[in-house]
Amino acid sequence: MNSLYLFLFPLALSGMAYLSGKKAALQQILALAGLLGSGALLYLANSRGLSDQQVNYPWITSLGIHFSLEINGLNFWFLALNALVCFIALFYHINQASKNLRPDVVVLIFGVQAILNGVFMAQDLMLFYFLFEASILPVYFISSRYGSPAAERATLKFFLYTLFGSLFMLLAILYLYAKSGANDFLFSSLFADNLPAETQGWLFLAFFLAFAIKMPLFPFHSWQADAYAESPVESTILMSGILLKMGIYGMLAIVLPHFPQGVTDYGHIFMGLSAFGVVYGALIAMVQYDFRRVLAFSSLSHVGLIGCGILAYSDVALEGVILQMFAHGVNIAGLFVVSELIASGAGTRDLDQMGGLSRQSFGLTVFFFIFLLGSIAVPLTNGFPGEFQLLMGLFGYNIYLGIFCGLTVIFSSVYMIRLFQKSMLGLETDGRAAFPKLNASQTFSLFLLAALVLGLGLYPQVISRISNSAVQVLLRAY
Amino acid sequence: MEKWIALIPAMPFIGFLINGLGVKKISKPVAGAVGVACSLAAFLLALLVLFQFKSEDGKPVSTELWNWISNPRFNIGFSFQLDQLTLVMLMVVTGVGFLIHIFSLGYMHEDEGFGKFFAFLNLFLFSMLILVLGGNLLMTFIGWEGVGLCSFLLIGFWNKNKAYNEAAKKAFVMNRIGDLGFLIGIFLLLYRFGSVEYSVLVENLSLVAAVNDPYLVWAGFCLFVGAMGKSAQLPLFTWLPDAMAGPTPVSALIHAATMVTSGIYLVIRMNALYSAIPFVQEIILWVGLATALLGALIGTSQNDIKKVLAYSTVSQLGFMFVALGVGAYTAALFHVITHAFFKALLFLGAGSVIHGLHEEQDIRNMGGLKKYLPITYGTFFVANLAIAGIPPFSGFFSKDEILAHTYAANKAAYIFLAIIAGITAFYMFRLFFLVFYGEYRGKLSSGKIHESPGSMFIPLIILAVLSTIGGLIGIPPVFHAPHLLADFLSPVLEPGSRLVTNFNLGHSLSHTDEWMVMGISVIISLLGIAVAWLMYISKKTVPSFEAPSGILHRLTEGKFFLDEIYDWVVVKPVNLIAGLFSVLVDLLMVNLIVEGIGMMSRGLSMGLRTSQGGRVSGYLFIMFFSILIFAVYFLVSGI
Repeated sequence: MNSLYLFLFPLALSGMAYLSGKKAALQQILALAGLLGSGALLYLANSRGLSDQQVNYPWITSLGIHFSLEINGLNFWFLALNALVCFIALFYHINQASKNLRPDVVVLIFGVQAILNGVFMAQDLMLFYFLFEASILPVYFISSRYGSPAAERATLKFFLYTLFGSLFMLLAILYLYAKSGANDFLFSSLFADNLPAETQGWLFLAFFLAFAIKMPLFPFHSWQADAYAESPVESTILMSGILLKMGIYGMLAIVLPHFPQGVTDYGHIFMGLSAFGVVYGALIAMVQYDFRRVLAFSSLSHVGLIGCGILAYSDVALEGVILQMFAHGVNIAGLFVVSELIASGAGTRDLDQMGGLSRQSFGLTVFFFIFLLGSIAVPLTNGFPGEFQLLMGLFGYNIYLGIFCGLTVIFSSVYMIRLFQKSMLGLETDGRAAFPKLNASQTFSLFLLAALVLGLGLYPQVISRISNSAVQVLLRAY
Repeated sequence: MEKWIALIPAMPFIGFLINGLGVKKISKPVAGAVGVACSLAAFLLALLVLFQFKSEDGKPVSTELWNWISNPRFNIGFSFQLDQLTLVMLMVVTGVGFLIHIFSLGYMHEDEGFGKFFAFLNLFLFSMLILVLGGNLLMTFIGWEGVGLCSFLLIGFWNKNKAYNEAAKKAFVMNRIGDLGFLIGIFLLLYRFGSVEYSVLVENLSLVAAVNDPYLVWAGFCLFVGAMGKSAQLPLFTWLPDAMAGPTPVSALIHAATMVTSGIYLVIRMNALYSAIPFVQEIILWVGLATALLGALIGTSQNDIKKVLAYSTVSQLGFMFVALGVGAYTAALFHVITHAFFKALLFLGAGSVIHGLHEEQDIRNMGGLKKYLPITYGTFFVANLAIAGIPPFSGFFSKDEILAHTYAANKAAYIFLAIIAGITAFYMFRLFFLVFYGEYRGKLSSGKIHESPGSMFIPLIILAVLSTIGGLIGIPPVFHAPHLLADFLSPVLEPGSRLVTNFNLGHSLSHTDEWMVMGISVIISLLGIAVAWLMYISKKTVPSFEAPSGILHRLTEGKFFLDEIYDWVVVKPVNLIAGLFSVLVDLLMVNLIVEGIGMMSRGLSMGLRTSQGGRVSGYLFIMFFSILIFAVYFLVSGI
């Protein structure tokens, strides 16, 4: 039953947030409750055995669509990350806007959490599709209602782009439905038999496109930098921290186990492209002057590596995929929070207009540096075990590809250090920057993330112990 | 005993935490005391472990704290290993580290970032200890990246200065180029042997049946690339001279005595691998030789006191790699030890000079400091004799051992190396004479030049003693005294030497040859000193401030223009490509294709849109919630 609770719980909080209105203290309690409650549900689910947590209700009976959810080793860490990232976005919003709190943003972020929990847990392909589509809406509302006109345009682009990609997925789902002859959309029915090799190719392409746009992988990324840079930071945190993980999840849960022939036929093309994206994103990040755009392109680079790792059908790389998925969510959420605190203090996001900020806020500098270390995968941070195994898997798949992707080890240090030095070090610029000290709730949420950066770097087994077997099953088809 | 091992790195880490977290609140004396106490604790623990280890049977002790990275193919433990090689490194790192902590008390006393400095210094010590204590390659890699990070933090310690920040970034990025090589080496070994635990590797490598197995050649080469980055070998050495931007104790500890010797440690640690791949050893030999030559040549015409020492470090590290290249692992480690003593001493001496002259670093503005800074002068002289290879100072023994082994293995390399040794003596005494002899050429009034306080000169004296007698741990066989270091180290080198015997790759040296090599190296060193005497004492030459004439001089003064070459060959093209990608490809191509498709559909929907008016977001908002309501309705009715 925990899977159902995990879906309904954020919805309930969403309703309560609506009722709480502009009372920041109450909203803050709700945000904490969301994190702790989801964490508790996941913990209990794991200790009682994940296989006992599924629910399956007929939903739209006339169409054979089921409301079918389960928690398993594969989606476990996606769910955990979801709770964490939504909490960070919520806390940031409530804390930052305490005088001008917008209850609808809180309502919408809880909505995102519920919908994404649904996406990760769905065992009915139609339900998956429906929630996959719906997930973008709350973010779109936040951006369009509270962002600049540029933000609305950017998010609309994201929205239409992913809608376009998902259309092919819908067609593919309908085809699978017709083909299977079953009267429902459950994974277990649609993928009951191995699919014929000749149809796997285009099914792979259809699903892949939808997921690749969401992640995004090169060359489907043109919505990304604008959307990350222009949106209110709450949306950016959600998009980079957790929304893109839907793409990764889809690849793992649907594409990899069910279209092995498609992966074999076309995978290497997209591996090449996303490997190119790894270096491409890193290079572009080196010459950006907007703080957030640096992070956006760094994300393109990191996620490209994850994409490569998924398609390499390597047992080593897949372990890295899960670790890096979680690490990326933690680090990028932390970095975007930091970037916004810096931008609001410095009054600009232009790196050339910053400098010397480290002397203004010790706490912020330390947190920024810890996230930086995680992001460039220094050992004993969360980025390292994932990146190590990803690169090793890729290296085993193809030496040259592995070395090429390995360039990220060098380039990431270039752009992240540049980012840090230009903003935090050097001389102060004309005394414009005035940082308030980090308050208790800011410190708390950044501390939580930083503790994860270091803790998971020291003991990544926490993650792999739960996901290990589920991940290795994915390669059965090969 | 196992339980003590993990405590050694824990000590400086505690110091880092205290000083790091309390950087705003802790007063200078407390911060200094914490930093020094933690490094002392590590040193004492290391001593304790050394004696315990001696009283036990001398087998490596290892302990795994937990399973760090696990995978269907392999498990990598968070493990430590203690053997003779580690013990030697432990003594050097914690011993010299402790002395430099003390020196820093005085040197950094006026600095506003005093607490931060000690926090970073302790963090460095922690990383370095993990590096040498790590029980597998990946543990060593933790320390490896850790020391690189601390090096970054400490080079850019005075981070208001943009040039210093650039130097810090350069050091980190160049090290990361090497680190990629290191990682690939780990991948190769991990795929081949399923483990990178040192004990497992040694076991497997001792079974290697063929010389120059291509797979192992690549693995060894990649690990060496890592060593090139960390130990500043060609072509990845240009970061080290720039690293002199950091405070001088940092240059002494990180960029002379400890971190930069990690590459040598790594190769010795993997001696079983390298002994099986003479092809890579040959590469190491020539890379080391070229670096030694280049560093020495550049050292002859630098005028910044720290830059001279930096290039000398580059050159001396080259010597150590030459030793590794001819399979003389003991000699390499011996030189690591003596170099740690005399180079740390030189740097601290330089620090004392800089401190005494109120931040003056240009030797053209020095001269005649002998009478103002007597203790610094005396200790600097000892260090100079040691690095020039004058018996019986420590550098003589270690350098002579390298020269002797090189002579036995490769005559051509020996000739080069002997000449480089002469150049070394020349440029070091050039420095020495220009700083301490002649007339004072600077602008400070003589009353303002002062000798350093006790916290600074006591470490100088201790290091001077060590630089004098340190060579006694490795007396050459012709004197028929035990070579303590070689005897102590032999269990670690046993797998490699067994392979060498199996493959019949060994060299031997007769006693007459040994006497000859020793004699030649002393003569050449004296020659170098004599030339320096002639130029800078007799003729009283002072390097001019104008740009030099003459091709060789211009090349060495301009550091062979390697920075400029790298800039044109690597940095500028990469930036150009990045700029092209950013503007041309990303904005104009990838984006416009997508926008174009969007525009087409927008044109089609124009009619529809105008009939509706209103904001898109409003509709979507309504749509979303109506869908949600429907969804819940269906769900409820379904149940």
